[in-house]
Amino acid sequence: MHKNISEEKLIEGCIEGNRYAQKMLFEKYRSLMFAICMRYAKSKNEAEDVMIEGFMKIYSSLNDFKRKGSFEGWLKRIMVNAAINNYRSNLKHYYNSTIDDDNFLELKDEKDNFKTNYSAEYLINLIQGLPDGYRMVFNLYEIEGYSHKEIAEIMNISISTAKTQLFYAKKTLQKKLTKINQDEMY
Amino acid sequence: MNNEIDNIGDLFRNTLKDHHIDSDAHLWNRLETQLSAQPPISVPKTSVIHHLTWVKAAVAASVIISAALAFNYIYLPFKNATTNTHSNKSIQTIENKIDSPLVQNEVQNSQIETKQKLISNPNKLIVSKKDTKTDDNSFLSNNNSPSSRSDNSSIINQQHNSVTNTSPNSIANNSPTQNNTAVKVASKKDSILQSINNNIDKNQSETISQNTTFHQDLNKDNDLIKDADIPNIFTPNSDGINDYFVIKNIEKCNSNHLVIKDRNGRTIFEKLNYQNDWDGHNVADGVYFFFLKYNANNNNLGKMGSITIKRQ
Repeated sequence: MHKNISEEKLIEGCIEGNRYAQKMLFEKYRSLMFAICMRYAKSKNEAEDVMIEGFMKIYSSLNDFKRKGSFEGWLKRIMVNAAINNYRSNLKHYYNSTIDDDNFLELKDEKDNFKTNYSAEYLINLIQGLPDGYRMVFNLYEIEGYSHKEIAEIMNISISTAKTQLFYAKKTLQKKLTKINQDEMY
Repeated sequence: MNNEIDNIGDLFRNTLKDHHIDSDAHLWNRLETQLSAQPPISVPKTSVIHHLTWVKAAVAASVIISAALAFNYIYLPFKNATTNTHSNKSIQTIENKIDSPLVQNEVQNSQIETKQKLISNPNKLIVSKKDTKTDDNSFLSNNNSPSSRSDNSSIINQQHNSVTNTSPNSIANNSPTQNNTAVKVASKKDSILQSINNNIDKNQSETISQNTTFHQDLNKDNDLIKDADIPNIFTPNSDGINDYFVIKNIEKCNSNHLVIKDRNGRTIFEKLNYQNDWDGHNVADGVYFFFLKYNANNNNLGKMGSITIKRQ
C-alpha cells in the first residue's frame, strides 16, 4: 500500500481527480470528520449527509488550499462550514426554543465516575438531544472557539441572542448531566 | 453553580475536540457516485508533466481496449455465436493487465462505458449479418451446433428490444414530478437516483421479462399509473391510515417489479408483481427510493422517486 505517500502528493492527486487519491484522503480523515458531523447533526443520517457534502466541498476547494497552516485544521473548517450550511438550509424544520425542555434520549448504561468521566458517545448523545439552535451555538463557541460576534453573524441572530442561547445550552446540558448522575445514585 | 456551567464547556471540549467516530462503509460509495456525476476536473497548469504522462497512459489503454473490442466484434462472431459472458471475459483479462494507479481512473471510466456499450449492443454484427438473406443459410450451417440456431433467434429479440432503448439498466425518463412538500427531498436526490441505480445494479438483471427495455416519451395520457398515483410518504403505525406503500392502479398492470433502496443504494425490498402490501416493517423511518417497472397496455414503463417512512 502507499502508506508513506506524502500529504503533498495526496493533495495533488485529488486535485487531478485521481479517484484512488480521493479515496485515500477520505479514508484518512473520515473518522475525524464524522465526529464533527455527529456533533452538529441531530442524527446519524443527517451526519452522513453533512459528511458527503463536506467532502465534496473539500475536493473542489483543494486547489485553494495555500499550503500554509495545518491541513487538518483547514479540513475541519470546511466540514464545520458544511454543517453550518446544512443547519441554514434546514432552518424551517428546526426547533429553536428558549424554554428548557426535558426530552431525554434513551442512553446506554454507562458506569461513569461521578461527574468527572463521561464517554464521548454519551456526550454526543446529549448534544444531539439539544434543541437545534442551542446545539449550533454550543458547538461553535465551546468546541470550535468562535466568538459571540462571529456566531451571531453565522447564525444571523443578534449577539445577545447568541449569548443567551449559549447560556441555555449549557444549562440544559448541565441539568441532563446532573439528572443522570442522580438517577445512577439510586 | 456557575463554576459547573463554565466547566461544562471544558468538559465537552476536552472530550470531543479530537474525537474520532467510525462511519458506515457505504459512505464512500455515495461519495464516489457524486464525484463520478461531476464533469472531469481540468488539470491545473502546474502539473502539466503529470498530465502528459496521464494522457500517454490513457492513449495506450484506449489502444489496447480498441484492439480488444475489434477482436470481440469482428473476429469472434465469425467463429461462433458470441455470448455476452465471452465478451466480458476478454475485457476482464485486459483489466487485470492494467493496474497502475495513475491509469486506474481513466481506464475504469472507459471500461465502464465499454461494458455498457457491450450490454446494450451485444450482437450488433450478428444481426446485421442475418439481414443479408442470401448468405443466411450457409452462415448458419457452418456453425453445426443446433443450439446456435435458437441462440440467434433470442439474440434477434434482444437486438429488437435494445433498438428502442438506451441501456437495459436505465429507466424511462418519466421521473415523477412531486408536487407537494416532499419536493425538496425528491429534487435534491433525483439527479443521483439514476447513477445510484446504474452503479449498484450493473450486474443484476432486474427485468419483468427477459431483458425488458423501455420506451421513452410515452404519451402521458396513456400511462396507467400517473405520477400522482404514487405517494411520497406513508405511515406504517397501525392506525389503519396509509400503513402500506400503495400505488394506485398497480393492480391494472399486467406485471410489475418494485425495488426499494436505502440512501446508500442497498436494496431493502424487492417484489415481482407487487400488490401494495409493503409496510416497511424491516426498516427504520427515513427516506428511501423506489424503482418501479410495470407493463401497462403492452408498454413497459418505469417510475422512480423517493418514498418516506414516518411512523411518528
